[in-house]
Amino acid sequence: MELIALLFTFIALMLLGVPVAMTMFGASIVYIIMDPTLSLANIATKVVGGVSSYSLLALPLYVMAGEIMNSAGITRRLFNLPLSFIGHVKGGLAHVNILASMLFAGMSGSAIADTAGLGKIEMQAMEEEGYDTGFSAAITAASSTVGPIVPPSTTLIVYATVAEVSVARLFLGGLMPGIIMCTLMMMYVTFIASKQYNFPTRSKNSWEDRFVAFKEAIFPLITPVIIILGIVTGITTATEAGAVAVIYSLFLCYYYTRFTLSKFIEIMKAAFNTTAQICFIVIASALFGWVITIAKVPDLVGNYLFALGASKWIVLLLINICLLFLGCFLSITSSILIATPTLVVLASMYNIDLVHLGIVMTLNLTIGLLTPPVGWNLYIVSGLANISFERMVKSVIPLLIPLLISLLIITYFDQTVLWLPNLIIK
Amino acid sequence: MYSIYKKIQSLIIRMFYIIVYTASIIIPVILAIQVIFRYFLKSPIPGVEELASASFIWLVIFGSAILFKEKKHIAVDMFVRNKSENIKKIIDIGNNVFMLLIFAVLIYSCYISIPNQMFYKTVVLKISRSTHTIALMISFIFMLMCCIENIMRGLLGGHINAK
Amino acid sequence: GCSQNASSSGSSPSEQKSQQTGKKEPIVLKLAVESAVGTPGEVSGQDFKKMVEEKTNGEVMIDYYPVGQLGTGDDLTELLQTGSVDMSWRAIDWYSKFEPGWNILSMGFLFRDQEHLNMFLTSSKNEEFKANIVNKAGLRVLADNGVAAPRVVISKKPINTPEDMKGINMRVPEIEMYLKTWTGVGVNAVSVPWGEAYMVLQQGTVDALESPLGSIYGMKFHEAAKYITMTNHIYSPYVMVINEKSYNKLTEEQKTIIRESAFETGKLFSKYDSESADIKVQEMMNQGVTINKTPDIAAFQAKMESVVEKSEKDRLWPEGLYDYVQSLK
Ligand code: NA
Ligand code: NA
Repeated sequence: MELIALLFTFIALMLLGVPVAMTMFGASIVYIIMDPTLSLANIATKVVGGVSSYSLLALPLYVMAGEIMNSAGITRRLFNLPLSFIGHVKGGLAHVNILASMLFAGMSGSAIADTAGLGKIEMQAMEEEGYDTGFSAAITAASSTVGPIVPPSTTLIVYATVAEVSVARLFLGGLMPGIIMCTLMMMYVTFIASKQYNFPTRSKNSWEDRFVAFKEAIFPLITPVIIILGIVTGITTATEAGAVAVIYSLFLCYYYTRFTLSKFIEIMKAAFNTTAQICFIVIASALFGWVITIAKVPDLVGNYLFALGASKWIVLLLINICLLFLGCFLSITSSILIATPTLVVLASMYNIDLVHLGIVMTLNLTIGLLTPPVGWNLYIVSGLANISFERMVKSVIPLLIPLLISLLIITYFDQTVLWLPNLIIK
Repeated sequence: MYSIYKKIQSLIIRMFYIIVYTASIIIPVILAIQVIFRYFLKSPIPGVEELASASFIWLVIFGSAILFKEKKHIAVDMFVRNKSENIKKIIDIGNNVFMLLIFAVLIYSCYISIPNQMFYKTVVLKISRSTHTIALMISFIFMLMCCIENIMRGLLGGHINAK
Repeated sequence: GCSQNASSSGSSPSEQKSQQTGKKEPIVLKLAVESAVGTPGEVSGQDFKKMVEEKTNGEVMIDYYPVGQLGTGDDLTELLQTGSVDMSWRAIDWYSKFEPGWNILSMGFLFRDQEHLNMFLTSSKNEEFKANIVNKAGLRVLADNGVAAPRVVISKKPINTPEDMKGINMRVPEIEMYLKTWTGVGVNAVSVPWGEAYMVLQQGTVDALESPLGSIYGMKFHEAAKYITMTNHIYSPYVMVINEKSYNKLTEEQKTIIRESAFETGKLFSKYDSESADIKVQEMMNQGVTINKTPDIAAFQAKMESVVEKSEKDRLWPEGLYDYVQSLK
């Protein structure tokens, strides 16, 4: 009864357009009031507890670093580097689009930031060379999905906080899947290019040009190196690596743009907007997840699957299907926060590694960014490209194929995720 | 009346901004300094993580309040997006009433748990948990006021702006 | 099946039973345990559930939440105080903020051995402390006999005396007396979340950490550092704690059952823990871990003198308590 009231409140408020965090608060409060054994005082306990996590502290740092990089014109430099090397092959700009996203993913935490910053440059370049707008928009949107997978990643930080696993292991776990995704998307582009005879081409760059492009990009490219090396060598924790990245990118930004105080405040504002947006949901879901656990939802789901005699592979498939569905309606962070408590219990029943689960969840939900109705990336890119949402959806559908194949590979070969963290941390 | 309220509100928002910006600067700076002290000077500064954590909590608490005022919190609007202006307005008033009730409960919850949380202090800096709860309560009260303002504006239409 | 878990939906087996026999609704108590599945703490918690439900013929049912599902650390203490969670089964340290006397249990190198700890636990002083907790926090300690293998140090280099630890970076939990103890020994205390502990030890961010012997094996610390020193610096018992209001809902008979079961659980916990500790030590030695069973404890204890002095001056525990503990023989 209480559980039905909880779900009803949650869904009703959500549909009415109440902020996601408030729907979680509202639903939890309804449950707590209806269950006489629970005290209202614990709402404050859970809310303050939800935000007091050392792992979560990494989040504002990587958001800040991304914002600073974005405003330093670093995206342009990162775009020019692969352009000078492989811009001349058939469908070159599409490949460059994907590679640039990968590079930028190495310093920024979220898919949205990637699309907004880099996307503009990518779209412009492809359009100038006469690519089909729908195709360019689709590539831009699809390639940005590597953002949350490739470290650093705010999504992985949020997951680490809830599942209580090492941020460092998760970061290392995301590297290979990111490469797999890029490879498959580039294979798709190659395939399309081989079919399509009128793909624009451009002339080959000289080695001098390439060297210049490399020189322009080298300092930004050091950022991911600092982050990964800091973590791997043990000089910094994953959180502190974020702090170092912020300081480094500030220097870089100052070196490139000589920013003013007002510019600096603008950057800070953008950073705390993102941070507070995510973390307000985090604190609400700390309460919501607790209530869900008290209501024994994770055990109910687990026991149900157990009773069905589902195998680990079926469970992973079911997890993926449920998450893809969830991702169609909610933002990544909300979905992670709602689903993780239940899935962690399932994972322990089925002996699924929590790092593996985290990457699978994140990839799955990022693909959700490309599926209507809440495909945030689709909205952003269709806005950037100035095309209708319907056309955007149609263009992006074929690109879901390489992404879904990546998801299958990463789901069923857990070594694609676990090999690197096991190698380095063992 | 209304103009005084607005003045106080903008003053409060400015304070929130100062806290948020200060926290945003403190966090990366002290954590980076800690790396130097621990790894290179071999003597970590005690309490740095606690200070960073507390700053982060305040950043989130007051940042959330600012975003609430600016209506920037993430919401699913796909079902209300295509409704007519009048229906949108009614839904908006209803939502604000819901949220007002939720905030009332949240504020009450903070209020009753503050005395108990005095006992919970961090080890080095002795930051009490109730400090955060009080901050949270202030932020919730601010958001509740925003709800009331939204409801009034919804009910009275443009009249509220008249002095 | 899943019906067991829906305790409030009126379909649980015990409720059906009680309907048949005409008895009233069972009392349901939520028991929160922080330990991971399969560890002595978690397994003995399940034993408690079984014992209570059997002995009370289903009149008292235990809703069991392991792995910190409902909360950990101070969060859980707060939940216990408000009664949203009725019971918990975990280390005593979490309650010392209500009874300063128990702070002394978190000081290193206090007890000579397990026997010495037992003397303290059964002393009149400790009874006094337990009574204080009921008054101050509304929490009742049902049993405090769940003594586990003591905490030890694992490090990258061999350790025998405090000199060997001087100036090294060591991960120390964020508990005041733990910090005082180890800074007293002379290390640089580094605060790192438990989840990152393996990582920082392996990468050399810290050179040593201290933990219960069982956790070293569970967290695979011995793969990252090869020297275990049996400092046995802290013996901290597991305690079964119940919210006083929840306790008073029980009949006298049920109270007795629940106290006896808690005591029994403590014994089982100690048994499981020492059994698994023996196996783990053997296994770690097979994997090339060097275990120093006879470090210079006296030298470590000597380092505690100033710590005791400072702590008594700061009134961390009642005056004279340290001497009282030392006088127990
Ligand atoms: Na891209
Ligand atoms: Na990233």
